[in-house]
Amino acid sequence: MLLELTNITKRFPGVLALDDARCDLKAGEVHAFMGENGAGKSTMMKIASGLFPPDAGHMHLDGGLVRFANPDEAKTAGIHTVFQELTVLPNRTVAENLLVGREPASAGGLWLDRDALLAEAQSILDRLGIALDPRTPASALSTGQRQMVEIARACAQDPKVLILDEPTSSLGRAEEDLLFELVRKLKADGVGIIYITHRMSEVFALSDRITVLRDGRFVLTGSTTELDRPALIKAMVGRDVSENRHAKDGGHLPVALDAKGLTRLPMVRHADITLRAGEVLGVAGLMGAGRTEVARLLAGIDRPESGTMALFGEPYAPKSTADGLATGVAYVSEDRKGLGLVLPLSVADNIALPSLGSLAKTGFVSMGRLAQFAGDWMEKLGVRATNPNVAVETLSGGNQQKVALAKWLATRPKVILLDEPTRGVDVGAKAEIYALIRQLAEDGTAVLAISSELPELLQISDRIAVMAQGHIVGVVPAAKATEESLLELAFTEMEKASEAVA
Amino acid sequence: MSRQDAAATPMDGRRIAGLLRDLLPYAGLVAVVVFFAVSSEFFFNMRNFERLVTDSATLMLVAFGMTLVILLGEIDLSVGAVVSLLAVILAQMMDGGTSWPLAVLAILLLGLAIGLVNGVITAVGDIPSFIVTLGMMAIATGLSFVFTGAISVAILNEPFLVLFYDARVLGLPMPLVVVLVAFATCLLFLNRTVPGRELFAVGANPAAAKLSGVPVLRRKVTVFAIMGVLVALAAVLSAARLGSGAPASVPALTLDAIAAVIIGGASLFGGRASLVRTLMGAALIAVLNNGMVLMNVNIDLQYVVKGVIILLAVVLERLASGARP
Repeated sequence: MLLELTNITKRFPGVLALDDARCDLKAGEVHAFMGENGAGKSTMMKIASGLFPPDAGHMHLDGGLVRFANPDEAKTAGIHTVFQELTVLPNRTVAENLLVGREPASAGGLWLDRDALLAEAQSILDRLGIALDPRTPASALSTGQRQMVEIARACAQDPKVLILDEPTSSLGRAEEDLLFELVRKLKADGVGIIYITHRMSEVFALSDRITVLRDGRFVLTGSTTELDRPALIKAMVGRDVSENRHAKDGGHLPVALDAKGLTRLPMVRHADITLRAGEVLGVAGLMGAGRTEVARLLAGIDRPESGTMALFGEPYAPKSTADGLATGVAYVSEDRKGLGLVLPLSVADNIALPSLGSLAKTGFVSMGRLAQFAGDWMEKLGVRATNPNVAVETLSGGNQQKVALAKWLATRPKVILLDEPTRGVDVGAKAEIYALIRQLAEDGTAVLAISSELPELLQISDRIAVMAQGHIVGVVPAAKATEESLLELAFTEMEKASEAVA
Repeated sequence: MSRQDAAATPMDGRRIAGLLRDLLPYAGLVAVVVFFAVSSEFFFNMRNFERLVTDSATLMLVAFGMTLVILLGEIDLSVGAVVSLLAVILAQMMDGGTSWPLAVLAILLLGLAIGLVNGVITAVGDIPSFIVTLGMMAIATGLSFVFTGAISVAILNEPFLVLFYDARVLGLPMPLVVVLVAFATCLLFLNRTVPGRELFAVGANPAAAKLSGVPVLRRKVTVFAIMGVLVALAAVLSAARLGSGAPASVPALTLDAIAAVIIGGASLFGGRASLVRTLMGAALIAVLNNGMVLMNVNIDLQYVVKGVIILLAVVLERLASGARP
């Protein structure tokens, strides 16, 4: 075995990301990693590449026990990783990017030898069959080309193990073929390749073995020839389906928000969404399907390149979040720390932030009214904090999320867009948030809930829209949906769409 | 729970640093007052205190504005140069026969305009205020020399000098009254108006503030505009106190104003600043300036002392806020 990870456990605040998981990799094989969003694939790979240590478990490379304190140690040991987020330096040339940190130098390492740099870069590109001029500045490359530079940089250091995290997510069809060829070449050279992807077709085209993770646990490892698509989907989902007792057919409810042909490239393409007052519309889809991006268009954060929106029958074209809020549309971001809350500010100040205007009837903010207002909303959502004046950053994830919800509910929206409403929230707080979401719909609010957790969507939604490649590929009643059917829809349509694009 | 448990050990060090940071302006002020009262026979008397207060009015006004600017995570390096320039223009206008009320009004408007230019370039142009106001500093310094030929312009307008320096309201010297009114206004603005309260969010997390419907760019411009007006007021008081307008008349003002805010525990990354603690910080600087002159401390050494205090305050703030990503 080239690489072996055993009994790996990793806990993040509020989540058990990996629970006694394992995987292994042989030299000269392509090993695909599959699992739903949040199954633990990326966490596992980040541990293997030294980004952070596991809380428990062991890693063996070439039979020897290894433990990496940082990514450099992993690289020195021969494990190279290409993450989804590209790290190419845009102001440097292809050659400089390929050899960053290892530039050929003379005069005791002081003098950069530009000719040698170009020659070495050219030989790397030739060896990998990548047709790029090493003198091109990276800023002039397409995303796909940058991805190739990234992969080439890893390959140039003679990796034993190469980890590719969704490498095709930003590639066009031609570049994809080039990538596959490259992967096969490396495999022939004896490199062990871990390949994380959401695309079934790639898994079957490229991999020798497949490992499936679910909820941080190991489910199975099997030879690709012995597995088929239904078996994989079942392995990825395979948990008890919880009953949704609320789901209703909302056909008679008034339409709150109606969007037609929303487009903002590259993430959103001709998305149609109808959201009714008094229903919860779940939005499912794999990472990068365009779910958040659609919500941002609906909220007025970004503006669509084309398409129309109507709010309760009136034309709706918000130019800013303030416009959205003024017309009763609120968006609760998935990025609680970066976009949802102002962490160093108090709970009260956070809750009151979008509503300050309404608390300043006389021109001045009434401190008494602000405290009352914040206190009321904390109580309504059950925010547990010693007092309203403590900084939000001192609260637990669940309580922070409740503050974020309180902040937006306090603006009394008619339409609320929830992006991953229970991310980083513990089980108890999750149940409370589910009840709250159902109550909102009962009270007549139109709720759109984006979630990567299918059981969550099945539990809270009336209808579930599935997104893939920037558009809505299907809307199914939650009562009839299963995790398998939703995932199947997402996978099928995604592949269909990616073929159509190519 | 688990979050707090896990963070227990580093939190203690942070809490101590935070306590020291919050105490610094008060403890520092008491310390320098006691020190000078003991070491100088001229320090601890009413006459000196009155001089101290009127001398520091310019610093106070600019420090209040600097508090708002730093709260947004911005900085204004042009204040000293602009105060000198505006004082020069004020002196020249009155020298040319303009009545003092008209001249003062013109200066206030000019200050507002300079603040707006700083603010618009910073906010709309999305350019660091550090470099924008550095440019403004160069322009203002240059112009004040060009306008005067490097010679100070005397102010002979008696009513102006009396009103803005010698006059008393309820027994208090006019410069102190202006400072108090400006302080109360800034306090009311920052804590009790919608735009004011929004500044904390804009400073700490502009992206989140924007998503909350806060017009972030407009708030930035507003703060630089307020700074401009306070700088103009400072120029009026400074001109009245010196009885002239001269280039480079307040060489340490920018440093002192930033020092006052930093000693007041503000974060240079934005989101954290307090007018009350800035007031204490500015008082500390004012006492230092006054006391060191009384004790004949060399001017260059004065800079060293202030520099050490600034660095101490900044390091404490950093330790107290922890390594924020």
